[in-house]
Amino acid sequence: MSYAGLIRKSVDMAFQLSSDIPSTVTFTKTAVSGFDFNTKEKIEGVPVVSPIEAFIVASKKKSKKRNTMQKRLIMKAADLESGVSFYDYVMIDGLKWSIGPPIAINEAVISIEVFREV
Amino acid sequence: MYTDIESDIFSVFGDAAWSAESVSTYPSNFIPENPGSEFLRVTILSAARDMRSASGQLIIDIFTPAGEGQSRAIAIADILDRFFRNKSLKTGLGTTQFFLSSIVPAGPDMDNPSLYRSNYSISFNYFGVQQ
Repeated sequence: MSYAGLIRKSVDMAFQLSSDIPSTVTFTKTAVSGFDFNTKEKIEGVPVVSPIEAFIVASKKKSKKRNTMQKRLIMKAADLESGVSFYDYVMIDGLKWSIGPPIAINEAVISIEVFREV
Repeated sequence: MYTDIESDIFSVFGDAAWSAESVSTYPSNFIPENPGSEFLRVTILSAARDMRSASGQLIIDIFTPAGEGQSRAIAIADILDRFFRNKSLKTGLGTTQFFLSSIVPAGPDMDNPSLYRSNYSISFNYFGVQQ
């Protein structure tokens, strides 16, 4: 087995062994192919919704001046083969969280930060 | 008034003549996926002068591959001049009149050093109608 395969298997095992810790979140992926200057709107495809397991490793209030909440999520890369983009979003406990930078992607895991005004 | 100015400017980039130039163009606050190594980002700055007129700047960031000189950015500036310099645009109630442009090299892009950024800007006045 390649190192990449080994690492992915280890990540699978980590998610299985800690099965009570990861939360199930709903990831919505929307392909945005461009911007239409005539309608002044982005050109987007049909959203693809999928439930995935994620470790919510940090949750904090982002700013003293505003009620911006930030969470950091770690997910299996295998669950998001097509990657993550700015126009995707995550539903956690029925609330919509928008994805912002940084987005860290490697062979095994994807780490993202999500934001919401509360 | 501001929406009218935006509509006038966007009408250029939504037109087939601009598409024929094959220069990918996006507005500010839009994040393109896979834009490639050559694209433009359009920003409109405008300020009212009175109840029915405004003046402003159309600022276009020209992104080209780093390390390949300025020629392509300058060629794109000339293309932009064909569409905007000394032109008047009217899609709504008022008219947006453009004047002379400038092109300024801004150096390697802060986010992606494989790209070089140049700033094209052109001033305009907008004349509306009394509502």
